[in-house]
Amino acid sequence: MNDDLILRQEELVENPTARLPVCLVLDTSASMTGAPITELQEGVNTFFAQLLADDVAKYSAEVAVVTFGGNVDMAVDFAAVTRQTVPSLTAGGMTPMGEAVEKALELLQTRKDEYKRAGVDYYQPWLVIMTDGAPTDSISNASRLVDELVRGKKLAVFAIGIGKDADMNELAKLSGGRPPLKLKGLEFGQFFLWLSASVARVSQSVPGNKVDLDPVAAWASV
Amino acid sequence: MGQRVTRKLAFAAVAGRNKEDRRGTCQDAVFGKSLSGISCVALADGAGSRRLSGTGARAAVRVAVDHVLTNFDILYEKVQGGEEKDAAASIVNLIIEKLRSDRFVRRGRLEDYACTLIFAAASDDRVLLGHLGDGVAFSVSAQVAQIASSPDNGEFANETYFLTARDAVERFRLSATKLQTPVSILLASDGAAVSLLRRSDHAVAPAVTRLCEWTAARPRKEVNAALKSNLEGMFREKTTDDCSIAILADPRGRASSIV
Repeated sequence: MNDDLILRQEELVENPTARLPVCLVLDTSASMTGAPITELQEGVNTFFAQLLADDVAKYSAEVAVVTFGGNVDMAVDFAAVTRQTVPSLTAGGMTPMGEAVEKALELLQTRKDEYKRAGVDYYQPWLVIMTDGAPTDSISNASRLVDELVRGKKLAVFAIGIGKDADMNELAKLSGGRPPLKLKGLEFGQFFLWLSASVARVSQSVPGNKVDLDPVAAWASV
Repeated sequence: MGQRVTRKLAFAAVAGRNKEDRRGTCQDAVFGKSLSGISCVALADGAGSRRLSGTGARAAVRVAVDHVLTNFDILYEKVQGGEEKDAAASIVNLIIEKLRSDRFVRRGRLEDYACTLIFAAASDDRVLLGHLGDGVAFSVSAQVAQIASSPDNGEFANETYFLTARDAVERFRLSATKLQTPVSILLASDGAAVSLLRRSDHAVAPAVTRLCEWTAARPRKEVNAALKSNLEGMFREKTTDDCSIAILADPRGRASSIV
């Protein structure tokens, strides 16, 4: 081939990697005190570390963390994982799950609006809800919003119950029709490994891809 | 314009980096041909995880090019006369018919052949452009490149519209244009468009003009090899997706700077 038929880098444009926004909504209420919060913290650390270790996911995944333990807090706002610090989780207070989910949906919508304004492509957002109890506030509005988004294929929800006291019926109301899963023991590490692998897989998908996620047997009990 | 003109064609497709560890084949397909003074190039992008979408894409480009070359005048008049949907239906239905034929159908369901399609055809000063899905068409006139047909995507990065979908005819866009000046057209799959179209401000890469200039000035074999080499070397570095380009160049628009 002739050398003069080689394009220069300056003759091409740059586009940002398509983003996959993932919002973790984590129960940090008093009942999570002790081993559960320690294991959850380890799991979240693993999640961030695994995303950073993946060449595509580290530029594609954007994570926000909302905690609900007494108050609803945005522990981490959406940003590239390469620029984020893993939040420190502490347990205490009640379980305002409805408010937390509404906050998460608001954050996801805001982030999507930002992508649109900046001309950044994005994948269907993910909402991950983890709780070991029952909501202490009303979840009816959050449930309606989640249903609406899931029905419109605008959101994927992963609802995970922790331990025997997790109210799976209430959690089902927030999972948009997909049955919630129960964490096997305190296998947070396995769950977050699965989640990061799933994020990595989706962030490499192209139009027409049906992304099959790995089996959940390592972390979910039947 | 008025005078007879013979367009020059070039096209190439390469498998994306997401296929490297799975020995996957390229699901983009490109094709082009000239017949009786009419020229046509087409590009189709097979749906990611559909197992026969590469086959669907290869069938789509061949059927589309043959149909458009044979029926250029009819299609052009239909589109000019506001009967775009009739024209679109004739193209889409013919491709579907082909995919449903014994040769294909015994190997899978129709959805397994899902692919997008974009084509450009020209006869003297008339240009016909057809487009379904997330590819993009650029036009280059007097060394100025612009978008001739924008990508048609869903909201999310891995969504688009395919020929095998029920609403394919509805979404298929066709335009018929009478040219006042020489125009070259470059078609790109979404993978190649990552390097050619900046999404934030719709800026078109200088490479679009240059590739059209090469096509206008050089032999097809040489340009096809150059396209392949540039797709492999540069375009593929910016995406994991398959990358393909097809060009219909008007040699009268070629710039003196490149020869």
